[in-house]
Amino acid sequence: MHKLRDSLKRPETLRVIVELEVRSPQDEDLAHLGDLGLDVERVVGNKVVGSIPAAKLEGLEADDSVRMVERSEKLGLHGS
Amino acid sequence: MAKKKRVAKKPAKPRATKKKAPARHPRPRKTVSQTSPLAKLDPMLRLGASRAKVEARFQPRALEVPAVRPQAVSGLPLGIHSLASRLSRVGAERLQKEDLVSVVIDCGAGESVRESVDQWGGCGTRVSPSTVVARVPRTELESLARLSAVRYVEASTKLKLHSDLAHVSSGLVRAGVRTVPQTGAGVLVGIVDTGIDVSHPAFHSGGKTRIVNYLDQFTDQEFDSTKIDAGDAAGSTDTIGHGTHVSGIAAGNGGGSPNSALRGVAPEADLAVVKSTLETADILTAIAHIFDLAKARNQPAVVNCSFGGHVGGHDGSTIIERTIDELSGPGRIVVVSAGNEGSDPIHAHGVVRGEGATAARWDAKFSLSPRTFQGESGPVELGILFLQVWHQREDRLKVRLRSPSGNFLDPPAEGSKEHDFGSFFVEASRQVHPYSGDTLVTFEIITLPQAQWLSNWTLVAEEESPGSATVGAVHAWIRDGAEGRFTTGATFEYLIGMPASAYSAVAVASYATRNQWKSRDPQNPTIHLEDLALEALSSFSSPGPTRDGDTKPEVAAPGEWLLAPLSKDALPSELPPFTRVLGIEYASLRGTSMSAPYVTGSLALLLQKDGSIDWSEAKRRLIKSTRQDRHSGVCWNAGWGYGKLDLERLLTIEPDA
Repeated sequence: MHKLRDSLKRPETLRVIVELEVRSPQDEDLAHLGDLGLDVERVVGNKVVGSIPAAKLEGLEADDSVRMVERSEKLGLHGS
Repeated sequence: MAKKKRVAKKPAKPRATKKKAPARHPRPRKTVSQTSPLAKLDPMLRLGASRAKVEARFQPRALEVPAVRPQAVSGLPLGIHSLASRLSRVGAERLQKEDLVSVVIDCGAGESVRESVDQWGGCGTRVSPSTVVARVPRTELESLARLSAVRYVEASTKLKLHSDLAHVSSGLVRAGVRTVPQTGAGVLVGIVDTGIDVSHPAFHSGGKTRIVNYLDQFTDQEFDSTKIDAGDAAGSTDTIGHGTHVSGIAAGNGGGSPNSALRGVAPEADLAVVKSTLETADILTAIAHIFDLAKARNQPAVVNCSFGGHVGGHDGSTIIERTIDELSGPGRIVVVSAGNEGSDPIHAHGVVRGEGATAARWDAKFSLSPRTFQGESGPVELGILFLQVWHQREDRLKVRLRSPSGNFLDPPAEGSKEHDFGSFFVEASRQVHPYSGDTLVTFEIITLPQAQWLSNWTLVAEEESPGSATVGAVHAWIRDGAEGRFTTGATFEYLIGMPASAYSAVAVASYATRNQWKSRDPQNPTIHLEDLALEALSSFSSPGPTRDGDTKPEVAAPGEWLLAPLSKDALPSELPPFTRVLGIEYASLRGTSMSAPYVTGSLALLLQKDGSIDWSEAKRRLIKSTRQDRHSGVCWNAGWGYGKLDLERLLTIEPDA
């Protein structure tokens, strides 16, 4: 039987926030993230916002230069 | 990795409006209506109508003559306030003599009623098929009531715009006068939200916009004030209306309200607004963008975030929360709404710590809510629930699920594992959080929408062996109340959302300061929420503390039914007619989304006084200046934090020696 999960549309690309081990990433650090499949959008301190193919996520998580990866989560408004 | 599935989450909504059942227009009783047209008149009008013919030579008592709207919006056919400029000379003379009465007419044929009013020397506007707002000669009130199309005539009651109740409660206004000299001038107020109606007069001064920067993250367009004044930002609309309202609470100047009475807290602050996707990745860049802007402009800044969610450890350890900590500093403060989940059973808490030879155990039951999702081949109805369970690093606990069919579903020692039973699917994972070191177990459950698979799920936590837990605290959060609810084990605390649990952020609770207003809803023209106790904590306001014991929320502010600017582009599905104030482009909304910008504006005033204040000093002064009353009880407590915002005191506290 088809897995229930597979009946849902799954994004092929994930937006993520990556926290790096280095405090001030240099161009070569960002280039390395590019090699891992991350399309870098913004850099804020040692946090990097970008998109990555879902299939490459595990490789990004496992890389020594990466301290932590969070998927970008949509938050809800608090008013009506 | 903090493994979070990217399932689009519907924005959290507060619970259904707790207003009384829609009040229909009073219908005349048959026996009365057939004998006297006065039965169709609001009692406030009857006296005037019956006296008018007898006392025509006397100047009658004025019922209500609302102020004429400011020129900037006087051309808009919005209701009673725009009518004065359209009166005939005879009508204008009558208005001078105050014998024109402002009324709201419930009728069947609005256009013919409006024409009759015009013929009598008054003027009217049809605001809906069954509602006409008008100024009617007092002597013609009875004639109006005799029209067969007229069902009821209600006196137009002047809104109490001056000394708005929120400002009185916060100590910003006493006897109609602001108590503090600060206006926010020179301070940048940042709003990360759904956008802003750049054309609203509340955000203009001297014919120019007060918005110094507007970034649209959907289109990646950025507008400075010159571009905004040139009309370039007109396409970046606020169709939800949330951001415009929030901006107005913090920094609106009252434009578009009679005598500019509906000023925000910091009416002369500069505004920087980001129309955000509300994804954490974009929120992070939005806050950084505003602080970069403030630095370039050499201004102190306070950023408002009226949103949140229930992912992460509820201890300030997510990346976005720690980034907020890093970006905050002297002259840079972030304010976040506590959340609207105060009555939602989405959190369960237990202590798993035994003293004997038997391993301690705790469980909580929960159920899923069926919803419709986009599947590979069209819409599909499923139950999907995302559950995060946290326990401290000192404890060795076994956390698992028991399905409705009695199967136990365990996460692996590390990593993730899929459990596929055909009728339901569970992905379970376990990790040590890279920042806090605490253990996080996550379950993503997908079920068929039948009742036997949606209910009777059990979360079980037990010691791995007797005495393996030293703290034993277990906390579990369902990501959103729309996904499901705990049916046992729910505790209505620890509900401060993320990123309000950021250590440096000021988390704001909500209390009620208004329970009535005149709305544009013809079926419900007078909103009066009789059951809503003023000055009491809002039932929806999310209580603290955080999982690591931080005393959040820090402060409570007015957040239940605040009048603030209405975006002209707000969709009726987002802001229904009952929220829209009759006659002016303002709306009445509630939520910690509204209390947060109240504090944001307050901190703008504080930063005007001393632009070097950082978040810790701001919190010290907020906490020291709060007031407690019979509603708040002794503070700090989980609902109120340290108590109610007291602006007058906040701005008189001196630096800590």
